Amino acid sequence: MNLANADTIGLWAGFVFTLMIFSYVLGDNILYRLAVYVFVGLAAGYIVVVTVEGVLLPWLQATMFTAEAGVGEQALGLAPFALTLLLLLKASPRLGNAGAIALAFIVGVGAAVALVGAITGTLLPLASATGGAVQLDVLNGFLLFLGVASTLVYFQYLARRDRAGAVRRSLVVRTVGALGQGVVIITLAALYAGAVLTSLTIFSERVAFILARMTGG
Amino acid sequence: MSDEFQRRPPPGHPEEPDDEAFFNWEMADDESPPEDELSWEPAGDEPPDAELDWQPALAPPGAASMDAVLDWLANLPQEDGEAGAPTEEPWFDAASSAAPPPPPADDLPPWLKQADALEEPAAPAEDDLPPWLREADAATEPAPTPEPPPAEALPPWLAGLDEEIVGPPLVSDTGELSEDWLARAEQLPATGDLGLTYDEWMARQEAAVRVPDVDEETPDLSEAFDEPLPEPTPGTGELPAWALGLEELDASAAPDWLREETPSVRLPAETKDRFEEFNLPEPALDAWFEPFDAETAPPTPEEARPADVLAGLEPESPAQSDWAALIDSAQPEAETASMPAPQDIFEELGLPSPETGYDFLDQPAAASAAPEWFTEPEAAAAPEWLEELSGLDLTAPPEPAQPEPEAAPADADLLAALRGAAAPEPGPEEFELLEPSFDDLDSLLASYEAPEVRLPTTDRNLLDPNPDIDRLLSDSELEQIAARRSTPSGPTPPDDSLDWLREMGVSVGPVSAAAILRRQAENERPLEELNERLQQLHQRGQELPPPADSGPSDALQTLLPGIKQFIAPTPVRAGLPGLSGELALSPQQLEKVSLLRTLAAVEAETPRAQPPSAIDLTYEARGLEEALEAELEPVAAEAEAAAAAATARQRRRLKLDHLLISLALALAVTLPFFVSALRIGDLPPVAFAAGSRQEAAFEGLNRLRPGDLALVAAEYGPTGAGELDGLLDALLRHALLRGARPVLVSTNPLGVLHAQNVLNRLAGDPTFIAQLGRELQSGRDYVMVRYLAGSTIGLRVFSRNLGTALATSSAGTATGLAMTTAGDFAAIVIVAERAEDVRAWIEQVTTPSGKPLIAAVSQAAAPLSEPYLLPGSPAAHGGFAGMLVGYRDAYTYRALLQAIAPDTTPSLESEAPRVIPSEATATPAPSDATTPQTAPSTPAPAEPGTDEAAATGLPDATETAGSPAPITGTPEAPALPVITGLVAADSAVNVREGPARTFAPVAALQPGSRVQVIGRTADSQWYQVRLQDGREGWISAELLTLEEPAATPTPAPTSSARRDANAVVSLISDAGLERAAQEATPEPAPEQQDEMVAEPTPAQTVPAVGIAYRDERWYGMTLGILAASAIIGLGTVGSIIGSLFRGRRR
Repeated sequence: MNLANADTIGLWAGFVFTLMIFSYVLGDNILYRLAVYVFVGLAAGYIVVVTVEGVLLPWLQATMFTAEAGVGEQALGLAPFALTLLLLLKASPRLGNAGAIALAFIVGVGAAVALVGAITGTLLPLASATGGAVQLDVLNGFLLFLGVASTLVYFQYLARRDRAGAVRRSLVVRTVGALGQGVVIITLAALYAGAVLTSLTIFSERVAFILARMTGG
Repeated sequence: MSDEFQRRPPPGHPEEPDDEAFFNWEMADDESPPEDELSWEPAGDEPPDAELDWQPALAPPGAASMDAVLDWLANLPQEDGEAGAPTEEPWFDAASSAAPPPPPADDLPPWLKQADALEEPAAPAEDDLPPWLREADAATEPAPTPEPPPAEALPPWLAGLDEEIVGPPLVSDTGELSEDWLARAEQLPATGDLGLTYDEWMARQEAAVRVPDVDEETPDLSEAFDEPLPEPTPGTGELPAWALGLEELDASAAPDWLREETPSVRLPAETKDRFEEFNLPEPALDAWFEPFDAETAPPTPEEARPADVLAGLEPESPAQSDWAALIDSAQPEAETASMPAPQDIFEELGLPSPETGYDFLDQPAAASAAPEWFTEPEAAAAPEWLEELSGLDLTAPPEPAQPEPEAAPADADLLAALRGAAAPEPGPEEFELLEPSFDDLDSLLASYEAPEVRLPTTDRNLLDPNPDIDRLLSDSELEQIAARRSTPSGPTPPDDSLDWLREMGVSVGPVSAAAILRRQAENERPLEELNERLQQLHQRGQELPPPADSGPSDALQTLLPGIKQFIAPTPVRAGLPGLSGELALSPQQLEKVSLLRTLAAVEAETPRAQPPSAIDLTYEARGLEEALEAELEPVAAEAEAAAAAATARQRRRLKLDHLLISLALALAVTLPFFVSALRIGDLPPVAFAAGSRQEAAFEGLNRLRPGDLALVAAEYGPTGAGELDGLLDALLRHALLRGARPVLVSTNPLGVLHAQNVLNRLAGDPTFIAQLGRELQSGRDYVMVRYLAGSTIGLRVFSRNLGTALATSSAGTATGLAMTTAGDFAAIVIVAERAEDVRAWIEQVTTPSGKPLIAAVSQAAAPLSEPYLLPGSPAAHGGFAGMLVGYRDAYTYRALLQAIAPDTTPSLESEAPRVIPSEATATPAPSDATTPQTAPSTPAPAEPGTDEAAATGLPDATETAGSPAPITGTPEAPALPVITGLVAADSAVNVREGPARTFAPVAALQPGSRVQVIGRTADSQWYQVRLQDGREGWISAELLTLEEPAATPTPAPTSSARRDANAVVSLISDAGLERAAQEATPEPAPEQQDEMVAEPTPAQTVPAVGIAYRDERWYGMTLGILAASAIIGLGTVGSIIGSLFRGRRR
């Protein structure tokens, strides 16, 4: 089988699987599920292969299998695999606690990295940009500032409790919060509209693909 | 009798009152304690005046002072007429009018015994006497009128009241008791009562004073079973004999009535018959009463027992047909009335009535019909009292009735009746039952350790954290024991059951499973250690109303008679203990429930499954869960079936809706591919608006120079490929055509795969290869790096250690890249499907200032990626300098690229033709830019390339820049003129980051300095310049004077579409690039020219179709958006109308 034939087979396979996915419009059926299982299985298999070939083996080659690798390098090369084995122990109820070590590394480091990144990459730049936008354009900057501030007010939960025990927020906070709620609604609507547009884009691309196949493309 | 008398402490106690106060009983009428204190029998309901006072209550040992007695007796005649207290007492009335009653010798006050020994004591009044005494009195002469006893009848020690007391003086000269007098006490014999401690004595006094309640009066057979038959005590707690001088009495002092009656003591005939039936020797009562006949000495307390005396006194009573009746007759009538009837006792025990329920005993042939409780051999569990009765030697004098007639006489009566009834036909089991031979206490205790009486292992079950309550309550051993205790012949001592019940923890609260578990949980875990929620639950549980007091059932009382006081009235429900059904509702709650049922129109009779309570859910018990499931299984199955039916109906309805909506959308998207009339709307613009995010993105890549490295992150998978593959394709083409070297990375393995696929398509596109001038080769023209593992952490590592991350390609080969920081890249492009990927790159990868950071995202990720876009500030704050979104921007970007190199821009579709389409003529003569819009009926298949070229709207360099020569932004581009500017100002001027004074200055130029002009704004107010050191910035047009270019460019054709693209900032360089590209475009090979001019073959029509679908896709998307909006709008309106109608119906 040459490359051209393989491409042809792949294109027709794509055509068939596209129709199988579209069959979901008639409800959940075996064709749809079969296509999904094939895609998920292929993706998982591909990820495993890529991970082994692109991550694990290069790591071993760079640490353990080098000629100048000493004991320290070899130990360092085995460390990820030891943590991996510990993580696999999570499947055992009796030895599952050993996997907490690897999880501690992942969760702890991940949280720290995400926190630092959120501060330096999101909060500070956005706050600075908000202030800068006010300087650039008064009207747009004011609207931007108002949207950000009202949204923050809407997501604050500090309030006083009256004598009856009910939680009451002041009128100003409620008003600004309502404005922030409107901003959030607009944002969510934009997200929803974007999702619809993405779906239509993909669908149109698939329709074009199918028509191309049907017309001999 | 006064309290002082009753509560007199023992001698020597510091609280000992004086003798005067001690004997104030005759004066204290109002302060007299209840008369039953003086009674020798248990307290009855009879009035106090009906009781006999001849039996004083327990007196402290040694309390009877002889002096006080003498004083009282001496004052008796004088006070008789004054106070009348002695004569008003029934005792004195009877003593003066009737013969003295025959009280038991040990119950009489010793001092009265002494008096009786000297004279005929006064008998109590007729009404005050018990029946048995009345009958005894019937044989005597009527009592004469009460008179004071004659002086000569008094004993000598009474007669000599006025005489001096012979002996040592009582009181010494110092006012204290004389030593001599006290020395006499030492010579007196000691009694057992002296061994009492003060506390014991006080306890006895308290017991004597306290009015017993009904429960105490009720004979408790189990208690009697547990206790041995009380032994007659020497004395009854009254004054010791030595204090009363009884030891000085002799038999001759006995009264006549006693001497006359004792010879006639005989057993009744019926009693003799009973002894004969039992094959027992007749008790030798005569021999026992010999002391009375011989008149030698008064009987000792052990000998002169009341029952014996009474039995001898009334031998001929017709009512006393048997021994049990004899004992029964010895009971005072009032006391008998206070005691429960035998029928009540039988009812309490759960036994049949003695009149009818024991007929089987008289029928030997029907022995098998006897109840199980009767025929079951329980020798090992035989109580002690039964052993004593069985081992009783009836030849000895019969045990007299006890002076402390608790429940024992009644029990003895009952049991005697049972024995008497069962005696004629004793079965072997009965003999085995009635005659257990326990030689000592150890053997008796060992009998209780028999296997058949061993308790069930309930403790072990309760120690289990998840006890099976059902199994516990249905324990076979427990049932056996319960059944065993139901039999009257073998009651197990109650303490035996109390211990294990206490260990079970059911001594309080209802005996439900939940209560047991709650109790156990409370024992195991203190309340303080519980969290707040459990504490609140506990508190609410405490506030719940107690369960309805229905009282223990008869069956339960019969089964477990010894533990009734430890079992709450909650009925035991086998199989489902402690569930919410046991909870009782208060009246208020019931009223609310009724109201809710009325409002909800729910029939009260409708059986509904009660959900488990919070307690049941809190304490997870396997047994409870199983029981709950078992109970709710039918209801749950029914509810599940109903829910399934509802779901099926809803699914059918949703399925139809889903199908219709899907079909509508599919038709809306698909029909524009075939029906030109449905191609509504405009195609995307062929150029980006000036100052837009898209233009900034385009310009960022357009500044790339040959040899620059551009980092391209492909962060999307199969789901985003249909939208983002086109964007990635356009971006890679642009970068490659600029001579840059893309470096592709991804944190998604599938992103690497898609990027590789796009590069493969580019490598297979001959048009692009022709524009590029060489074959696309991995490593030289681009680098595909292995995917970055670790997601966010991997990005952080990548940002900090670029050299290691970029060292290996996806093929596993060395890339040869020697990057240290992200600043080494001329541009960074992020193609992301999700906003999270965009944020991760922004947050983790430090982008150098001044380097363009471009985002190409899907429509779904655009709203959340917008905040990171900082327009007008290319990467000044770490944000995106430009952003491309979705298919629309991909369409425009491709149009721009086609304008730059119209003959090299291939299709964006994956099915890009392998051959140059015939429509892609080598003469990109621009046509009317409005062709797609004005002539939608002529779809693109025939002229896509001309449409793109016309839509591009190439700017006129002369008009745009105001300069006859175009400005090239790429110094490497040959033959392109370079426009320079001269700083025309009096002082230094700032070169800023952006085209506004608000941007920060990046450099300062002295007047007369020359810079290269590489661009301008649309309004020509700002020029973009490049400094000598390569830095770029913006300078105000007022401060810069443009100079003549070094070379004169070829004027570009004027196009009407220029105005459409007048917002493009740096198209001057694009024009130069276009010319350069045109110059660099190799001449088509002869065969290629032939192919181009040849008639379209079927293979050649394919690219035409593919290219044409580019616009159809856009039209389809437009119509699809309209259809989706209509569907959503109609659905919303329908929902609102439906809600209004439903609200109106309500």
